[in-house]
Amino acid sequence: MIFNSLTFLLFFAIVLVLHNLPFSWTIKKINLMVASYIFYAAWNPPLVALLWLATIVDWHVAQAIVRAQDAARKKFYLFISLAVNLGLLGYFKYGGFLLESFTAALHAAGIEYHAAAPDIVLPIGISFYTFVTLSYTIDVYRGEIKPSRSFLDFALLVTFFPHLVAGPILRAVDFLPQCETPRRANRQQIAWGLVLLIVGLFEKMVLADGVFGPIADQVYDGAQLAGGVDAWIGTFAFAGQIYCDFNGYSLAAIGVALCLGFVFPDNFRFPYAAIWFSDFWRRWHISLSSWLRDYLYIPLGGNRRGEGRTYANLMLTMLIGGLWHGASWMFVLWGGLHGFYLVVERALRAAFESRKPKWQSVTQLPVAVMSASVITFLAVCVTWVFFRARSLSDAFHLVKVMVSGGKSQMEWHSPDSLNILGLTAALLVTHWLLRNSSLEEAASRFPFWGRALILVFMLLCIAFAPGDNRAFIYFQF
Amino acid sequence: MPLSTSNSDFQRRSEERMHHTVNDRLPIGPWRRVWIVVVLLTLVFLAAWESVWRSRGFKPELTDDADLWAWTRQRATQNGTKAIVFIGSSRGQLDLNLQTVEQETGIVPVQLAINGASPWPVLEDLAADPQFRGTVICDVEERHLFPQAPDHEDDAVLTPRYYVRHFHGQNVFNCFEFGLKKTIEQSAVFRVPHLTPLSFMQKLARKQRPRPFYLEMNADRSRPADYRIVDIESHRKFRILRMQTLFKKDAPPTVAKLRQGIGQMRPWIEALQRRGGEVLFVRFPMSGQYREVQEIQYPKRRYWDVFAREIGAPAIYFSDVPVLKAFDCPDGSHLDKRDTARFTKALLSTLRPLARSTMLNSGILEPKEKNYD
Repeated sequence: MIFNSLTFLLFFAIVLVLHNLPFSWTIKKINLMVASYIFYAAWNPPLVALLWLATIVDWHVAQAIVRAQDAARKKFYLFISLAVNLGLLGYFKYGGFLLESFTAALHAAGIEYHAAAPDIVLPIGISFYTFVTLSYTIDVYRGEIKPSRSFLDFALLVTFFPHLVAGPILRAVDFLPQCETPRRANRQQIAWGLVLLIVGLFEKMVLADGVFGPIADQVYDGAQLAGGVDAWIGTFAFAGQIYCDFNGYSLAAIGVALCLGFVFPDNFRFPYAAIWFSDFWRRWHISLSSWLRDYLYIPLGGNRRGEGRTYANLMLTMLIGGLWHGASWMFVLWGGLHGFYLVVERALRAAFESRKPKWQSVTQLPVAVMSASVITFLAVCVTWVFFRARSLSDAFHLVKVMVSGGKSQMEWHSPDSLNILGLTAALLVTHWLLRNSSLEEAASRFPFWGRALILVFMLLCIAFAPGDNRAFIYFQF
Repeated sequence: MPLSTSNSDFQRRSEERMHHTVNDRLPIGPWRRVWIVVVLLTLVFLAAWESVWRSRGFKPELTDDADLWAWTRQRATQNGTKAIVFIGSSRGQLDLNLQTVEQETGIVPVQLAINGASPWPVLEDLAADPQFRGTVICDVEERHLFPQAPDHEDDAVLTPRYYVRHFHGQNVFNCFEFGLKKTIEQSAVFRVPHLTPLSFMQKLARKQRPRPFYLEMNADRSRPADYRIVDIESHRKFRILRMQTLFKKDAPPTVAKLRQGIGQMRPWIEALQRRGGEVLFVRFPMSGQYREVQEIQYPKRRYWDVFAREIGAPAIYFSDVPVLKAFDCPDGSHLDKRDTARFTKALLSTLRPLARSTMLNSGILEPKEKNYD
């Protein structure tokens, strides 16, 4: 089930009514859990078994870790959790990719080998829920949290439908305490939760699918080779599409949870206003970047083992982060580019910090800061080429024409180009204006009628949007 | 052993991580009033929009998409031996009158033609469906006589392979969603794509006024065309120009390529025939300059006649049958809705003697023994 479907609206209305009936808290949690399984089963009912497997294994492993008397046993139990979760992820998500890469490597070595194509269905959201269960077991192993005493609460942590298929990636520490006491949203929470749902659907259905997506598809999936203008317009369009798609989903998820009385952490903070790349990753897909930081980068040694090791850790973390997005070398390249940016930023920062204070003050000038933000956005756009392109050769061609130009199908001044340029500029300005603020603060500044008119506009745009019901891009990850 | 989540460390860490969430920033204000105004204004606007266009003769319309196709495709399987299925491209949807087919045969036909698409993926899918044993009438135009497009085009949402995959991915939730969507589309004019405020404003900018579209979209996937409301001269010119542009890009394929395509299709036709089903190929009518341009790019003798001889199933070309040749296509390639009933009758009467089963008569009889090779 996707948020931008009529079935979901009906489903959510039923869940909301049930949640506000005078049942006991346990019954309400059971309702939410059953609803979450129905939500997931809407894609492929048998794959619910994988959710059960992940839930049951990690529940028991966490209990066993606490009961274990010695470190070796604790480690053994942790290994079971890692093996099951990463095994599921590896088989379902990377099985075909590994086989393809293995076959390609054999071919490169001159060995003729043809493997049967594996017929593996990718369970939706598997990367998200395995990260939820993994973080729980690792936190218990590290002694940072105690295991949940309620299986129901833990099962709800794993399956709660607003975050189940595309995050934000919840941590036990964020969610389990909320399950202890009855949650029922107050009027303000429901009102704002519905606003977030509408803003999210507007971003997804109107901006991502209606405006940005078709132009990005035209350039990236077109039969003809793109020129310089096509490449930039198509990439700006994709930058807008992926942001509006994923941020739209995250806002809707946070809003839906809020209507039920649950609070989710933020997943985006106006990332296209980032000043350099470490700032970008503090603003883009925050629940993933903080997960990678806490469970990969820091355990690898973080920045505590010298500059060389820090760079290696950054690269490795971003390469794995790239691979997390999908079983393709294109995603690895995308992650690698971001890792490279982070390494360069870190090296330059170290070099500039040792310079004279006068030079440092120049970098603080508003024009320098804004330029840095624009450069960051353009560099991030280059990485989106690898994220979106169909093949490596397509990606290199697009990057090449972005630099050197080339005959384009589109003109800078065509209506489509102007639409994309205008909306991209609007997106950047909005992010810049709100970079140290939030949607809530912005809404607070509007008078009553201003809020109402914006919402009416968004609702009407949603009502008139074509009913394509395109899935959210991040579902495939 | 205490297994509690409510220890103070856990709570503290939780509070640390969650201290800047949406819940701490909730905008205060008269939200109740905001929502009342939002609901009222939205409903008033939609009601006004709806009544304005209804008063000007616009009707609700279904979207011809993969959901509707999948829902229709399901009927082909359900009908089993009693199925008459039309596949192909736009001519199937525009030229045929499905009510006439039902009157003539006693069977509710299934329209699976896809606008602008090659029929082969659909034929392959029907051939692979063990429950389907019906009659397939395939509208095929010359450019679709050749092997299928390269694989990378499969991802495009409008390709017939996407439609087929979409059908096989259906479950009870998709059907429910489609039911809701269909209900709204059948009852609300504001869901008609060319009546959105955006397209209205675009038309105003071009100093045009929205007029009812010349194609109707019916729930059975037929799309009768009313050419009386079209500037037919410019419409025809546009179609010819589009076809010439398309033909300029690609040189006509070789006969070897045609035979490669025939080799690809024959196993599907044979699989259907073994199960008691059959396939009949038809080149639907075309007229005027459109036909001349087609004939230059794809001479009938060079392509169609070879195809008809070697495909292993009946294949008729409209101009070989006087009763079909008599129809005129206002845009060069499709019939007007006023001609569809007559054309459908003529087509059925042409196909009946060629068909293996008597399904095209009325009711189902035993298959006739016939060898197409």
